[in-house]
Amino acid sequence: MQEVMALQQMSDLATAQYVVTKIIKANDNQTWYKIGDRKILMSCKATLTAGIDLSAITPNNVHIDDKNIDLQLPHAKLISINIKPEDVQQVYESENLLRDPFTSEERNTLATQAENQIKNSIDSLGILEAGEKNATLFITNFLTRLGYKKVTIHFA
Amino acid sequence: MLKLLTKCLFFVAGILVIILICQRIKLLPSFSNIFIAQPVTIDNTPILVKEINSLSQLITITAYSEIVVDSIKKGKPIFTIPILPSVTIAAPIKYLDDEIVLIGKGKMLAGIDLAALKEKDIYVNDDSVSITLPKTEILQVITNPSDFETFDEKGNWTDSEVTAVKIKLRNKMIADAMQQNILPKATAVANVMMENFLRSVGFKKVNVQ
Repeated sequence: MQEVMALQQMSDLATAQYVVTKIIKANDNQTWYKIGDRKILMSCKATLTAGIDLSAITPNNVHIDDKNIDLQLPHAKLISINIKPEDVQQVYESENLLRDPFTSEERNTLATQAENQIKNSIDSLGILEAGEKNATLFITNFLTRLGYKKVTIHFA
Repeated sequence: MLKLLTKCLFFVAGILVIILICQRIKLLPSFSNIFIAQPVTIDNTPILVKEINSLSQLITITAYSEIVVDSIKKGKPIFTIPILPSVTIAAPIKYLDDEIVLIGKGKMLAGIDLAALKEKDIYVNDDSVSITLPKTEILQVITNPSDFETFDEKGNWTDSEVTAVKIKLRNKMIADAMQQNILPKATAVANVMMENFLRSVGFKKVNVQ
């Protein structure tokens, strides 16, 4: 085994996590010279995490008036999409006598397509809105514990 | 004879025109990629939300890693029962070994789970604050399907066998990150981040530990 590693400093506050599932369904029958078809069915579970970048908070984004605080936060972003190897499972496969079974590389390519479809559906899932809502809740509670009476949070 | 030849030529020309029209309306592939296999694409199935959780994790370090991992399945003997008793001393004839080599790129997110922050961990006195942060931990290890490349694959590898190889790669990634002291580094960044945040929300004297 060989490895390369790089470290990057972050400052993300993860506030929302969605667990989603998807069925991966494919039929390999589009190549005219390959006789017979083969089909595969897999299930896939992905964990999506969203939150805010705390490094974007500068003194200009904070207004304090005695025990009242007004905080401007950046909009929520997708922090990660995590599809663990064990969360992609082959459920069914069938191939014609004249066809080879799907290789691990082909199965991985299909799972990658599913990963891309999940990434492209982020906006419709509402995770970013949930990320902002939870960030508001967490930071409001945290600042209240620090002694502030009125906490106002808005996103820009 | 000439009449027959003309008929044949018209017939061939007619076939060619039909093929060209079919290619234009995508019923047949073009001549240039006629022997290129069509990519297998998945259906656009719905995405179902199974769980929604609220978190309060402060991610302070991301470690990117690239690892090559291989696995070999020894070939089984072709004849489980010796053909002749006298041949038993000879080396058994086996199927070829199955081998897979994967290249995996992954990332690890390390930081602190602020949900573990208790009332006693925060002490405020006027413009001074003292906070004891929970222990740093590896919050996520991400090895998505798009992070893997199959460099070599010989023989038949089932889904569960490949998953086991990928998990082996992920465990190696975690072990390497721990050797690189990812957690102390994440703790140092978390302390600085929290100190900056507390100063930006108005505290003059800040103690983070």
